[in-house]
Amino acid sequence: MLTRNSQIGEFYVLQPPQVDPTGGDAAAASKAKFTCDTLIYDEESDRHVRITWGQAVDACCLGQAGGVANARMSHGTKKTNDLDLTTWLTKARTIQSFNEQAVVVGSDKATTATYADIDPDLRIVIARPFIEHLMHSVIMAVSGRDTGATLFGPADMQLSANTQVKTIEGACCARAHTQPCTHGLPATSR
Amino acid sequence: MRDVACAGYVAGCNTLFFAHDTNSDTYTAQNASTNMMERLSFSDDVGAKYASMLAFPSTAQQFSSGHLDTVMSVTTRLLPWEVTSATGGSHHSFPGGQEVFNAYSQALNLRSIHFGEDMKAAENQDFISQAR
Repeated sequence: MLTRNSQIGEFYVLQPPQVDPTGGDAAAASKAKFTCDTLIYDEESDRHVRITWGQAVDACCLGQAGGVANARMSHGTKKTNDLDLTTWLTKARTIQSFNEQAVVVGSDKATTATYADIDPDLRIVIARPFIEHLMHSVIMAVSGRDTGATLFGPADMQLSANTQVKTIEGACCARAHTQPCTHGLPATSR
Repeated sequence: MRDVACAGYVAGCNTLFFAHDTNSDTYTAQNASTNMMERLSFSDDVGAKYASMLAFPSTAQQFSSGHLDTVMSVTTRLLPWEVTSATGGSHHSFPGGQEVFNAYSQALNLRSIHFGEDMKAAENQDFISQAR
């Protein structure tokens, strides 16, 4: 069996709630807490781990000296259609304020943000691009004559290496006794 | 215990961000670049603890446009349907698009990520000569 290390990747998408979890009721503001977080499975410790919106924003490495430079995104949001990464970061911090129900540095709100303050079209993509496992490979085939047949009889098999084109060439000649056709094939097929 | 619970697992599926420095609890692009290279080269040991995750900004409109739905590329290699011209296509599938990819590629040194191919073996046609 062929065994080797293989890599796969996967990604998750974080988003703020698409409807107001507080129902517009200021007294129910605590219902907004943690609504932008996600749980991701940690294969090493065999448990789900909470990834907060704030952690994901930090991990985007925006707005830092020597970090990711400002650039224009390919798609803006419906609310503002602003393509600037710096603006995206400000809006993400506002969502963080809403998610944590706390004042967050970098938000465009000096107080705790409400649902009306956030842009629900922001997304954060969390990627795990280098998941590596020891993988086994097998070849499975359908049984029967469609896959192939083993022929018994005098056989002559020759192999030779063609060093110029780096291929192995083989030639096989076999004489075999097959069963006579018992169902009505056209004569030309026999 | 790790050998028992994670039989066949090598690395890359925990919930640590490459950008995170656990000692100072800070997130920087420099951390991400360094930790990613350490992970891909197994600079400590195969069984050591490496980070696994990256984060990128995006919008719902990029998903609904169909450019980013079920697959994305974080390397310089484009997806097969993104290669549309002789001079090369754009990273439509990357969160934020081509310009954001350029910014991250510069900051995180994404150019150094290999594609999971043994280029030397491909050049030498080892896939044929090793056939048995």
